Amino acid sequence: MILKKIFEKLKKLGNVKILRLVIGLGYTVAHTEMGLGFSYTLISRKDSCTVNPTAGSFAGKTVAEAVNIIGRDLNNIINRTVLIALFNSTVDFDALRSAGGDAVELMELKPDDQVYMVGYFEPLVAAIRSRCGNLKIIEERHGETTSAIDGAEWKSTANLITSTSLINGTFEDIAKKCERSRVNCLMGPSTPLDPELFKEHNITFLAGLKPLNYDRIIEIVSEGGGTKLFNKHCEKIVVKCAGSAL
Amino acid sequence: MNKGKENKTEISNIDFFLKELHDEAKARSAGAVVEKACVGVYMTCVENSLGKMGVSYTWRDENLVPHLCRGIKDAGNLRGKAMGEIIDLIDSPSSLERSLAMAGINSLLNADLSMQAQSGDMLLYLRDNFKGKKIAMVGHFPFADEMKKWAGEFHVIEKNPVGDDVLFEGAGKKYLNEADATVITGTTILNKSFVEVIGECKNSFNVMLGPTVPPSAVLFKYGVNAIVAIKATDNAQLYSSIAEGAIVPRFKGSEMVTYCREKIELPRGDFRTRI
Repeated sequence: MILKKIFEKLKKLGNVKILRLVIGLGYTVAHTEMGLGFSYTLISRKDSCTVNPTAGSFAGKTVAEAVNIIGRDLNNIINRTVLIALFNSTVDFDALRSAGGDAVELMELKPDDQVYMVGYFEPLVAAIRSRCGNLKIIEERHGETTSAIDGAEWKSTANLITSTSLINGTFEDIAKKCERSRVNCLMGPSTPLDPELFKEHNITFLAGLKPLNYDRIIEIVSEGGGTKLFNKHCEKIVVKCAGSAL
Repeated sequence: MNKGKENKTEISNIDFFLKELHDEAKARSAGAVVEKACVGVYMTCVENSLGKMGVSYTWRDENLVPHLCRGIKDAGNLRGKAMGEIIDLIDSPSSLERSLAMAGINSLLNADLSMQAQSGDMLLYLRDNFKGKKIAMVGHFPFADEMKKWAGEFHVIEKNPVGDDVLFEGAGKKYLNEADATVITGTTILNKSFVEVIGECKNSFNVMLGPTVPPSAVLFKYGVNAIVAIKATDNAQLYSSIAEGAIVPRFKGSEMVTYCREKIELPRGDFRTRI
């Protein structure tokens, strides 16, 4: 399970301090001594009773202390959200080899590709449709969910997968359904840019963000702003996973 | 036709109430700007340049995930904005903007309190004075079970009912009419049901309680007997709690204060420690 792997990797970071944590309405940001990381805040009104019993006490704690608290209940959506934001804050961007900034370009989509978009990345729809006509958007509000599609019926050759799937626990099932596809890209601000995490899954690219202006990003997330606003203060990074055919 | 007229009257009543609240805050807003704001996953807070903080529940449009809600127009650029502009949003169609405005109103009301604050445990007061009687709760508070134990009859009126909760339309109105004491959530202001709700609580001791509740005597005019509101004692700590997703029982840097229409003797304590 990816979350368990993330959890184990974070545990090893021990004494790194958490400077600020904001669980904003749209996104969560964790600012640690190593950097800043995002996670989507996947909470609807029906989850309103999900209470973070340690709220208000993360800032100033070490990552090890936070991971101890989070580890008590990895099914808690807030804990999973904070875990991913914390992990993303520890990415060593200097050690990463960026494959570029345009994930759709890098996926080398062909006219006969059948592309599945898991989650709705609206700004990418036109770019994908200009390369191939077969785009299927799989998202609840578009009337379809990944769990409703049987593995045998999953006919895509290329997939763009939202990293929110890591938070809602659907990633493993989606990755399994995508394993025969030619190219798979996990994308979004929550994406952990660590290819090692995904070596057992057929993930070709990880498309995420490198935060640049921490103070502005924290301010935007605190005030309920989303990707359109904080993207201006980040660099888009696509990382190629080792062993992928592309 | 008549029903339509009634609805129209209710709408103007709530608008009038919001205007009264807004105007009271506006009178304290001259020169004040936003110092810091957080629209948190559960709660929203605003700190103004007068050094005061106000809180509100983050009221999201029903059944929508965060990125599908109508957002806050100037999110990311709220710092330095005139407080007057922020509180004008109390009438916004966006529930998030109304939440921000409410936190702004509370921050301004906290800057110049005309009422005498009392400390103490309102829930113990209610137990001591209304044990065995009919209790109604508008909004499912985390202390519902505690009150249920000593109430003679207990009903929760809730827009999103869980368990035995009932809706306002129908059984809810009847229970409010019959109640001896009623606890009302401040989110009734955000969802604009406050005037309609309090209008049904004619015979009960009415307590308005929660993070959204404004420390304003305007509430007394509408039939509220006691206001139990949040007051920041350490803005940075309270901000951090809200940013990290705390709800009221876990708030740091704050106290619950009571303002009463007529002074009452409150037992010592803070009910939040029991939740």
